[in-house]
Amino acid sequence: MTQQHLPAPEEHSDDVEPGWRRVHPISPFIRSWSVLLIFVYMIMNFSVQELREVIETFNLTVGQSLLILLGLVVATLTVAAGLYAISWRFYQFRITSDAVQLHSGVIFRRRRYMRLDRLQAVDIVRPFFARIFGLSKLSLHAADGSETTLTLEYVRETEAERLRHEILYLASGAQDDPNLDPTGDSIEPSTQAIGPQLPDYPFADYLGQYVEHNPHGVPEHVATPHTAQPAQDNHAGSRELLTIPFGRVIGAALLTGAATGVWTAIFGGTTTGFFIWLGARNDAEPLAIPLGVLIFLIFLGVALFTAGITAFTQVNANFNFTAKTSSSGVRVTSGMLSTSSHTIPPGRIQAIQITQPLIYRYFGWYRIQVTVAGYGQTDTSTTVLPVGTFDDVITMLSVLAPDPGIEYANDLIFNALKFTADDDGFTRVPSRARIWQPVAGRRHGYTTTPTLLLIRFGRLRRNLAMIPHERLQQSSMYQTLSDKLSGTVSAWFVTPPGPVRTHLRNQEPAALVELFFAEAKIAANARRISDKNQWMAPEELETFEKAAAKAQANGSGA
Amino acid sequence: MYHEQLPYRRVSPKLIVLRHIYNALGFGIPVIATTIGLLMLHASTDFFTSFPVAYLLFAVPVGLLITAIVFVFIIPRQVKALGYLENRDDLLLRRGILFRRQVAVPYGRIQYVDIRQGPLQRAYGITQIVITTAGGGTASTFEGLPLEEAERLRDELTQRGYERLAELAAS
Amino acid sequence: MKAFPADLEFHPVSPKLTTYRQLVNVISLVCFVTGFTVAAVIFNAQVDPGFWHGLSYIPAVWTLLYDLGVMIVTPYQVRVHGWAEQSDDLLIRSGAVFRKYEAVPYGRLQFVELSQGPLQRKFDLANVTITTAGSTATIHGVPTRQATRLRDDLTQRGYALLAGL
Repeated sequence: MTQQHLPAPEEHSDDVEPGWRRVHPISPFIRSWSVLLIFVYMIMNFSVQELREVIETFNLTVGQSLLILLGLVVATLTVAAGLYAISWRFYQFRITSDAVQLHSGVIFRRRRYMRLDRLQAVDIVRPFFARIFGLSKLSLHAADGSETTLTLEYVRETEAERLRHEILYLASGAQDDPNLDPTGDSIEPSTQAIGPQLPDYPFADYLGQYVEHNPHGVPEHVATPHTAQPAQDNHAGSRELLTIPFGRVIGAALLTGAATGVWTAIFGGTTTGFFIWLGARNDAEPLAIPLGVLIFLIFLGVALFTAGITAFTQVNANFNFTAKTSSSGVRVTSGMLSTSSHTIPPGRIQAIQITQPLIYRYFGWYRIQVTVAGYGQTDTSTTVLPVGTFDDVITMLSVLAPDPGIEYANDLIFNALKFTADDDGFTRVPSRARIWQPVAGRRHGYTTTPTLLLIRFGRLRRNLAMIPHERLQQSSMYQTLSDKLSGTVSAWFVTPPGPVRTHLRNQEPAALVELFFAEAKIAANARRISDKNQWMAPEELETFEKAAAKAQANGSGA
Repeated sequence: MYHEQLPYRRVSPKLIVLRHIYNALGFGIPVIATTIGLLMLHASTDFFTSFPVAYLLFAVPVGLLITAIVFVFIIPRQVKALGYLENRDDLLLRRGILFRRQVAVPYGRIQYVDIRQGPLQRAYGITQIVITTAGGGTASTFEGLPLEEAERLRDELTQRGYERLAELAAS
Repeated sequence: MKAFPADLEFHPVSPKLTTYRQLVNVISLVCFVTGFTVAAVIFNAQVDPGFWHGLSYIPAVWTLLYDLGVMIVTPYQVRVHGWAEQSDDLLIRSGAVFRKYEAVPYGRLQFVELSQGPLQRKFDLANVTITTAGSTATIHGVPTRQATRLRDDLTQRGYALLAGL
């Protein structure tokens, strides 16, 4: 693959206005391959008999039919590539110092304009096939639910990384800082992948808050932090947080695969049992037992297959999972055949949920998911730690929720998840309402720290949801039929749509009403001091510092 | 709402023609399709003779046709009722005569702005402007601005958000 | 919710909302009950007699009972419904039997929507819907003038307290 075959995307064609760009010209061809898969699927839907009939009707030799097949494949590819090429021509984007613009659509035209400070997350995904050509897909997310605001499919890997760096830099508002090198009005495409150096955002300073006085010992990677990686994208202060060892990825994948397999097998076993019972009951049905065994074998096959697929998908997705932190936020990268990298700038995490599925419990593993307004409900990008130890959880939290607001925060979280102590600070569903939640009732409740609202739920699958006060969107307090009957109250602390569950059910009324009002006040104060769009804009940092100092003074005075 | 007598701006009157076309296509095709389908059913089977109630099915195309005719009279008034106004703090969008709706979008809340144009809209030089906020939904979809006006409005919207914030920061 | 602070003053919605809602209830009751009854009669005329003749009246009876229940509760619902403008958020109260309180911070407001149907206009009522990035909250039956004032108030306060997203 030489330069002639892959002309640089920054080369301007004469039909593009200055400043506007297109994605890589080879993209239509890569995208057309997915159409070929549909074609293959359609061919496979014909039975051998049908194909033979077709061949016989037209009196074709083997060579001729192969030629026709080849012709069809080529035609499909050409048509698909042609259509994609037309849409490629009309897909043009521009990045200026404060906005991203996109023109797209052939018949239905669309012009999109997004201000960069609206950026919620940036993804770089390298599907296997595009990776062969050294290409990546870059997606920008704004707070619009699950939709992707801007997708560049595909650009060269170095180009994708440079664009990401530029966009994050511009979105941070750092260019307004006179101490930093201003980049001018419009970003002129440059071959150098280096932007101005960013000042270090004070993430790391917060680590102490989680690990000070840690009775469970200091997590290893915190005690000896990894030295800055030779920053792939030249970020100042880019620091590796954790990598998931391959063994654990395999282990977790096998466990999940096994669990899926077991469920399939249980279902299959029940069906088999039914058939065998049917056969035993009615001797006149001699086929019943062999049929039962056959079905059992089929289910066994399906179970093994599902288990294998599930396990492989997980290994493929979580292979080499690495979490990093830098001035532009948290970045998680992973993947074997296809790789993906998600960057969430500071202040974009709306809520955090730590989950321990039943199968992880024996190994002491956890999963962390976050709500980001740009990702929405079902996006897999919301998982920022697929399988990690408790130390990993604390390490991640020190970045996701840098300020827990209390010392011993790790202790609180440890007890919240383990549920060992009776007085762990969490409320419980009052015993008169336990009939509505017989299993999880004792484990369902909330507690607050000066910066976080924590909601715990689930007994078999343990969950802990954490909402930074300043991220609360709205809250409601209500009574359902069960509440009415047992004299309790439920509440919903609303965050943008995402995987984190923030409902509280059947709680003691007095305490919940108090929380409802307290939360409104705390959230209002927290918003004043720490909610911001451009996380590096000088005035935002300044206001933040001032407010933080004031809050601290107030706090120590009180 | 409508009592306020605010200087709302109107959309392009060409939108009336466009909406008439939408109306004709949107109702015309189903009316013709269902009528033909029912007539064929009538001619080829004895479904209608064995179930005389089934003749009520012809109420479907007739009902659709009547709705379409009603819309012919409503559309001009509907288009005239569409209005937008750039307030100091927010953009006001107004629509509807019978069912009135008014949306106020603060400038600082706009996530991104789309200007869309389908083939018919392009033929009439009209656009659809879609303002996305983090609140989701399509509450702020607005059809009927000429392309230049739509682009002016978009620039205005994004600019005002900044200015208003700067004003607030200064005060 | 007895634990709720009693000193909070809620701004009541228009008392005309009761009349409007009862009217809507009556219209819906008449339409649906007649509709379901006619459907049942036609159905019974087409099929052979049997126990299903009685069953076919279930939708009509169910709608009748449900709508009657709603009509009994409506006056209480309207009396309870209201809003309170606090320093940082708007508090909305609703629900006669199943009480609900919603707190919407002004700084979180994404957009405000006023809506009014033809019948609502006769009673000078409007719905005010406040959307945040997570959910929505609606005040039903606000007098039109008050609704526009509330809208201006909300967006203005929203700007003064504007928070991210």
